[in-house]
Amino acid sequence: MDEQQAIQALKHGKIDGLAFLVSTYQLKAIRVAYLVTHDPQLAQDVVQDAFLQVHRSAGSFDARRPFEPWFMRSVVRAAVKAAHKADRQLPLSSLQSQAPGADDDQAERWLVAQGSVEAQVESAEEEQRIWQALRQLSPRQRAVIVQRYFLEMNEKEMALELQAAPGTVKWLLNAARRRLRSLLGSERSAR
Amino acid sequence: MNKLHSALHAIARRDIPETTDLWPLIAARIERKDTLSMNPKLKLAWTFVLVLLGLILATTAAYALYRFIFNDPGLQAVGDAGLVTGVNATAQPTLLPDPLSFTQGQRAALATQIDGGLTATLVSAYADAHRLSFVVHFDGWKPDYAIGIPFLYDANGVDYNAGRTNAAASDSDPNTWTINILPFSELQMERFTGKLHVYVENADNPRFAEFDFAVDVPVGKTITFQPMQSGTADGIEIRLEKVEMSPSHTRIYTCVVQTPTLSGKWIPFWNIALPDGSGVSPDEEAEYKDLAAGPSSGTANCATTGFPIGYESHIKTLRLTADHLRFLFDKAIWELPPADLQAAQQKLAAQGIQASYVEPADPSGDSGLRVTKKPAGMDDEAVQWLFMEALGIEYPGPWSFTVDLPQ
Repeated sequence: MDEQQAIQALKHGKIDGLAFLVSTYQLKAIRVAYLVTHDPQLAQDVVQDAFLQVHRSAGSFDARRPFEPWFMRSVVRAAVKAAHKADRQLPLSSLQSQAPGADDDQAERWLVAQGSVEAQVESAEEEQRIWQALRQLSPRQRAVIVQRYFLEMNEKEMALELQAAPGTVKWLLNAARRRLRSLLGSERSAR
Repeated sequence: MNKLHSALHAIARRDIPETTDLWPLIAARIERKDTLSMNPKLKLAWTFVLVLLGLILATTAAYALYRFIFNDPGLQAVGDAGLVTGVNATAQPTLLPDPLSFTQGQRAALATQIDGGLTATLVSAYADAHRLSFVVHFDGWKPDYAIGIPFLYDANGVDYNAGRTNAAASDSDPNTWTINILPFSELQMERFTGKLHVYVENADNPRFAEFDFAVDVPVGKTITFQPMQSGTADGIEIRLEKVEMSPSHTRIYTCVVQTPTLSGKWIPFWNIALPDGSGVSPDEEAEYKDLAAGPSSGTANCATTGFPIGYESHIKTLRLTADHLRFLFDKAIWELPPADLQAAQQKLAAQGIQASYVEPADPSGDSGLRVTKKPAGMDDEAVQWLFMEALGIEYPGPWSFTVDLPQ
């Protein structure tokens, strides 16, 4: 069975079609939702609901359109909503108390970086610091980071998804990056 | 590979293992929904409510179909005039060996056929220069059946220019269907001789019953005249160039003389009013038509539309009003330059409207125009037109014409 056959089967009420789509896309979808919600259980709930929505509305889906892009977009949207609802954001002090230490040189690199923050990540420790810093972003800011750097959407695709001009997307991305830099810089000042 | 990308993937891999499998949970939730049980009293109450809702919906749908097909004033008029060919041959259940092997004088050979558990009878046939209309009755019809796209073949078995088609069941008899075919170009022969191919489908089988009916019907002629009327609104002139009337149908041709801001294809959207104040809906949105060699204007910016009123309706005047002139472009609205969309949204904001266009990517139907704020009493369709007006791709007009019809 391929994707088109799965969608056709689903449109005819056959659950095998949904099983195929779940097995194909669930892992990526849960990971996307997790990066936005920062809660593995909530991420799984979001993706379950997204697949059930696919099951309910299969009849109206145009099988000629690729499934993955719109499904991942719907997962991102649902994850942002779920994160807002769960109010998962932690106060800044929490980051400052939880974040592992970073040496002055590393923190300085974050602060002085004129380009992208991604250039600064080199180790598992840095990954963890970024993960903690991401928790301090709003769900919407996390979503644009996930769309850009995990789903590898370009700015035009993000603009369509966000119903915003590419300039607005640039601004959102830059704001998220600046916030990341600021948070990582605050680690330094807290120590 | 950028490093933030790598970090996100590493985190995702670390915290969400490959072995994660949601399917048992999803399947269980679907199963629970499917086998949801109710106590008998509640079930009875729900059944009553659902039957009531079903009746309301069925009545509404039947009324819509009635309005759409069976209230077709053009067909009613030609029926009253005796121009519809009654076929309704004596039922002789058989397959059609050669749908075109009929002799002169036969309206349709072997007009009753059996296939897929259905018996289909071609009850009547009608043709004029603008359309063909067939009534088919089915015995053994079930509610989940539907008619697929009908095909028309000429006497040589060549796919005829069927153009737009529609089919709808009678509200009084759901086993009887009217099939309308609007050819791309008008029929210019004295008689149409050919074959109608109809198939029936349901959710499990796209073509489980197929029928071929031989057709031999006279073709009603058109009357063509040139009103040469002109109307101006929003600084734009529209000319009513040509009217073609068949016994059951009228087609009008209009041209935009001065192209508005954007050069390209502009089409008007028409309302057609009868002398008694009632209206009739056009077949569909107007269609761009190159009338470069047209009757008068020489412009290429022309369009045509049709509606089911013909000269057999014996109406003396028609009032034609175009209350929208819209630019046709290749892109969807959400693909327009963001700066244009934002400028339009700002214009709308000054009118108390907040709206945007969403790419139709979500199967839940969350797409197209999304209105988040509008003045009380304004519907979404009005917002849509205002949005297009703000984008400069729509003008409100109106352009009105009163046409005296030849009697």
